[in-house]
Amino acid sequence: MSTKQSTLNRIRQALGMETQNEWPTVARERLVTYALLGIYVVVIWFPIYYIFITSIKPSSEVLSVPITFIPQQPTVQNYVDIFANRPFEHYTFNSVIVATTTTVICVTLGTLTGYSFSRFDFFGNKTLLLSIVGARMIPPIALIVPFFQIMSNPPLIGGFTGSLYDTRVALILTYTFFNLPFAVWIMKNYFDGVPESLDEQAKIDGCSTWEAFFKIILPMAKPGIAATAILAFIFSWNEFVFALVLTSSEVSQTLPIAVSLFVADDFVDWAHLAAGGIIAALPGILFGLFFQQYIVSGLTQGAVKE
Amino acid sequence: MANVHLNELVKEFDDVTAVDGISLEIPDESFTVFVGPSGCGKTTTLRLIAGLERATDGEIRIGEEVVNDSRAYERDIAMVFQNYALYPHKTVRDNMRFGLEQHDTPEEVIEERVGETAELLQIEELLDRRPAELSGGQQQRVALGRAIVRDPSVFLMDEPLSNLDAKLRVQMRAELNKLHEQLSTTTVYVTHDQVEAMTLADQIAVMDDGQIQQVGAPTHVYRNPRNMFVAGFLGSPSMNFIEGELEAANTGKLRLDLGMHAHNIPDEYADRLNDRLGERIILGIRPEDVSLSQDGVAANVHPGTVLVVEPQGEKTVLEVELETGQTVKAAVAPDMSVETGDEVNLRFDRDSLHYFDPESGESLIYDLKTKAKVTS
Repeated sequence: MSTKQSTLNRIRQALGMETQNEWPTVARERLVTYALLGIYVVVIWFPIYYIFITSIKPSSEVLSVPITFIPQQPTVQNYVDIFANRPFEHYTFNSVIVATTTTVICVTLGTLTGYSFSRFDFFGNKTLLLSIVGARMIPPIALIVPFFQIMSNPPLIGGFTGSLYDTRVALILTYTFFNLPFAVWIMKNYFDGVPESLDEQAKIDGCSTWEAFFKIILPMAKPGIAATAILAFIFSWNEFVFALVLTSSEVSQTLPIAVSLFVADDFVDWAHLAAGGIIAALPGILFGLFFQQYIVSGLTQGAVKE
Repeated sequence: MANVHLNELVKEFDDVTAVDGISLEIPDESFTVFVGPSGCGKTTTLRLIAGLERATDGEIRIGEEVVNDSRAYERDIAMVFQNYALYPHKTVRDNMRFGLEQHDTPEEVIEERVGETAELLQIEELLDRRPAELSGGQQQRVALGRAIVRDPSVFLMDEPLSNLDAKLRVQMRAELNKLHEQLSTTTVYVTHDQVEAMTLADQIAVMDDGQIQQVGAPTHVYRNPRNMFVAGFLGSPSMNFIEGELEAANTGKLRLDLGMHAHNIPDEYADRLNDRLGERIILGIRPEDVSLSQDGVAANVHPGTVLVVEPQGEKTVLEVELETGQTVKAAVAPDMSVETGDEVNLRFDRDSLHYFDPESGESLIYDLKTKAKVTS
């Protein structure tokens, strides 16, 4: 057997195929598939890998030439620095508060509203749903000036006269505005996929409309709720432009802003920026990995009739 | 246990009248089946009884109580849905317990009833599984169990067997019959399947267009349909309808002109049909009441050509074209050797004839037939 053939057979063995002298189409197709997927995986993970290694390099090594793809002197100093020299715990806290509160509001209101749209036949419900979801179609950037003005001089409600500029409340309200329509839409679709006979059976079993919702329908809607929560959380966690415009200090600034602050006019502090980037990205990645099964099932629910 | 009384019940959805003034007495311990094509209002009627829809007009009584304004859970009913509506996140046991818990039933009573019902339906070993882990037939049993465990006054069943395969459906049908014998709970059952209706019901209510077309014991309704809708809906293959003109024969007797070979009207119906002389009426005869005659051309024997032969196992259905061009289906014994293109003579069983008004579809002899049955 020639060297070339034995190499092919080794690949075949690795792919779980019988070794043979001919090069079957299936194996070829499989090889191409794996090659393409491999390239794709490398392309999407490389920036994350690069940021990670940068974050554990000392500043001197970051810009050294040739570039080192395996850190020569790994260190956690950058992480220590960003918490020691900058109020990173504030930024993290702000991010957690803003993202969590937005998520809770969106999930609560989105679930209740979605259920109403799914189950109750009230006057104008189709138009209302369209107008709610339609609001989300406007590019956020187009609304940045009105949002800045509203938050700086909020309408007088209940005697409140202060400004919401540079508060976490401003961010929570803004993120809720952008995420709630999506939450309503996902949850409505989800509830549409839950047969109405379950509500009715619950009522026959002795439930009021509220009890039927809380005891029967809501527990079944967990995947939909998880999908809504993750999308709202990740959006709020990552959002940059509105946070940049509506906040100005550590009182309300979130992690994406904090990371951007490492970029000065004439100097970029790459090592610390990378460490901040990893801190900022971690929850999103972990959430995504952990809950991705729910995102898929939550988003596709109701797509086909079972 | 309770009877159910519907009085002039109306249900309108926007501009559609789904239930159009139906009145019906459903006796205590009876098994009443609403049967009709889809969209006839049978499910809406059931949902009105269940309290899942509010009646636009009319009255619903369960026992002595008018329940129009009562909520579903105040009506002491249990329902089995077409898709079973089992709570997917609860185990079989919890599905069965839920209704009892909602009614604050004491724990030991719940345990006892769930145990008894599971034993009755032979689902004890399924109690800790979730609905998704059950087969269609098992889900069906659990749905029944959840209704039975409540020990309600009335069972309401909305096409509960329609999601099962043919074999299982026949089996469950028999079990439902047995269960009703054992429990004697008043049952209202909705189906579009006339075989199910015939086999299960003590009382059958044939519905069309939001109205009850006929109520009665299944065999009575089958043998004595009040109109062409009922006649055509019950029975498979459905009743033959042959239109012809009423004329007087030389003998002075009444006959229906079916081309070359007239059909003599039996004497007992002659008086009734006499005043329709010269008008067109419709003769109805069920395929199983049409037989092949060896007599050749004789009175009431109609020659024709076999167009289609459909062997169905227990019988063979022939589609025969009469000389007038009208086709008639005949259900004959399976061992009869008939082939497409054969010339045959059809004989209509004289006791099984029906005559209908072509305009209204009403039977012209319904009262005569039912009276004859009573006196005989």
